[in-house]
Parts: sequence; C-alpha cells; structure tokens
Amino acid sequence: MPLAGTVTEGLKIVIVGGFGVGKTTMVRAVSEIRPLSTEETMTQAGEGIDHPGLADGKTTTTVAFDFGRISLDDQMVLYLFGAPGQERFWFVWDRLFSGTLGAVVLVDTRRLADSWYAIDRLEHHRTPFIVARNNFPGSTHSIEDVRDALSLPDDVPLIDCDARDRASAKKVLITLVDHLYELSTAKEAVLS
Amino acid sequence: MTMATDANLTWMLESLVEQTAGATHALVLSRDGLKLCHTSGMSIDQADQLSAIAAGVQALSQGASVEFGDGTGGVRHSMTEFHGGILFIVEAGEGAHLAVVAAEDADVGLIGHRMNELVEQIGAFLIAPPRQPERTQQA
Ligand SMILES: Nc1nc2c(ncn2[C@@H]2O[C@H](COP(=O)(O)OP(=O)(O)OP(=O)(O)O)[C@@H](O)[C@H]2O)c(=O)[nH]1
Ligand SMILES: [Mg+2]
Repeated sequence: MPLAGTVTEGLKIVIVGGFGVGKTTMVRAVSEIRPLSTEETMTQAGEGIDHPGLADGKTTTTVAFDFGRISLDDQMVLYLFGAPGQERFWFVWDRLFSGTLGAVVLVDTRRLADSWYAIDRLEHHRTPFIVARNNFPGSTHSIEDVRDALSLPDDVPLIDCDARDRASAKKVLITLVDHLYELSTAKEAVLS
Repeated sequence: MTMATDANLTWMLESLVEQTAGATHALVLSRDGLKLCHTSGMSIDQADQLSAIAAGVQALSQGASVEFGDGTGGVRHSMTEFHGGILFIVEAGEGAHLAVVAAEDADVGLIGHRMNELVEQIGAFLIAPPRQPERTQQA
C-alpha cells in the first residue's frame, strides 16, 4: 500500500521486550508494507544460551531489528521498529531508541523479569511507553499483578493483546499514540 | 558447538590472518550471532561482540538484497569501513558467516580474495546446523 499524500505526521515507535515475547509477530501483524525481516534460524551454537523453551515452535530469532509501517488515518503514519530480544543484540537498543517518540513494552507474564531491562532503558532515555501483555495460553497473572510486579506508575497504560491479531496489535498502537497525546497536552497546559 | 576439527579451523583462520597483509582478526560465527571459532588475537568478549554485530549486518544486508536485488540469492559480501579499520563478512558454510577485521589501509581486493579462497577450501566445515526442537521445557 503506497503512503497516502495526505500524511502530515510520522511517528517513530519502538516495540521492545524480552526474548520471544512476540515483537516480530506484532510488527508483521500490523505492517502495511512488506516488513523488514532479520530473522535467523536458531542454530546449535545457541544451545545453553538461548532458551526458547516456552515459545513453542519458535525456531528463529531477530538478529538486528524489524521494521514496518502502518497508517492510523489519512494524516498519521507510524514507523515501527521491533527490537531484538536477546542480550547479545541489546547494543542495538540505544540506537533504536534515539529519536523514538514512544515505545510498546511487550510482556509475557510467564517471564516478567525479562522486561525489566527494557523498562529501565526506556526510563533512562525518558521515552514514554505503554505495557502490553501478550496473551499466550497459560498466562495466569491478572493485569494488576503485572502492574505490581513491574512497579509501573498508575499513569503508564497497561493493556492486553494478541500480537498475532492485526486488530488487537493496532489497538495497542492507538493506545500508545493516545498516551503520547495526553502527555503532550499535559505538558502544554503546564507551559501556558 | 565443539567439533573435533575446531583446532584445525582456528589454525586455518590464524594462517589467513598471518599470510594476508593488513588482516588483523578472523572469526566464524553462526547466522544467529554466536561465535564458532576465532583467531587468538581477539579476546572472548570481542569475539562475542563481533559475532552479534556481523550477524546483524548480514541480516540487514539481506533485507537490501530482498528489496533491491534480482531475487536470485542472498548477500555475497559486506564491507564496512570505519576510522581505524575495515570489517569484511562473507557467507561461509550452511548457517555460518566468516568475518575478517583489517587495517584501514589494507588491500580490499586481496582480503576478499583470501576469504573466498578459504570458504571454497573449508566452507563445508564452517557450519552451524539448526537446533533440534527442545523436548524438555526450560524456564
Ligand atoms: N500462542 C501465542 N503465540 C504467539 C503469540 N505471539 C507470538 N507467538 C509465537 O511466539 C513465538 C515468538 O514470537 P516472535 O515474534 O519471534 O518473538 P520476538 O519477541 O520477536 O522474539 P526475539 O526477536 O527472538 O526476541 C512465535 O513462535 C510466535 O508464533 C501469541 O499472542 N499467542
Ligand atoms: Mg523478534
């Protein structure tokens, strides 16, 4: 789908989170262009290093970053960058975060601790973010448990999603954009 | 992954670096960014870093090939020049890449030639097979 001529606003958004939480899946689900894919088959060299045990059927991993694009309406387009989840590629994160207006932290409640580092880096960069719980089967914790476990302030939106589903993933992005607008209106109110 | 031939492969990498003017380090890595073997002038940390970097570079270059190439294949060769050095990466055997770091003023043609030669000779051993599905679940 070509980019509409009416677009006046492009926002750079990062999707970040631990290994195998569904970041690539989400970018692929919503992108209107062929997504840039840097998936590589996980090799035997990673035995004992990568633990895809919980993500059933996961055979590949992101070795650089995902890229996709989605128009939310005639005016606004989001440029989506999916971060790599494995620690050896974290050096890419700081570059991805620069110039980013907002981020989605995707979490798998079976491995919540994997999201701490992402939240820590975003806070360091002062990048506004929301948290989306990817509903894998067997996710037991309630959404409020997640808020407690991650010590998220009340003003950080926290929602459920299915990263494989286009409509659900799009709702996550709209929640983020709404949050960004709220923050900027709040700032303007203080300044004026 | 350790193979009986690891020592021989490392030896081949060492001789590539010794016999090629300007070449400083050589490394074989899996496409998913983990080191398989490397020359001894490089620390373990440097080898781990370069493995992740080279896998990322090749994956992004693959994106360029998909979008702008003729569709007949992957990435032949990547070269990155930075202040103080040059990084070369070529496809090795299945699932693996060969990376060489060279001095800034190295002969680019010569290094590329030596790398291709090595891959022709021993590419069949420079491999990283896909993982077997895990039977036991790990947390
Ligand atoms: N059941 C279920 N499976 C999912 C969901 N989202 C992703 N998956 C699967 O979980 C696996 C992980 O997805 P990826 O999108 O590769 O995860 P990632 O976060 O990009 O992983 P890395 O880049 O390797 O860190 C894949 O096999 C997906 O098919 C979901 O909402 N429900
Ligand atoms: Mg991914």
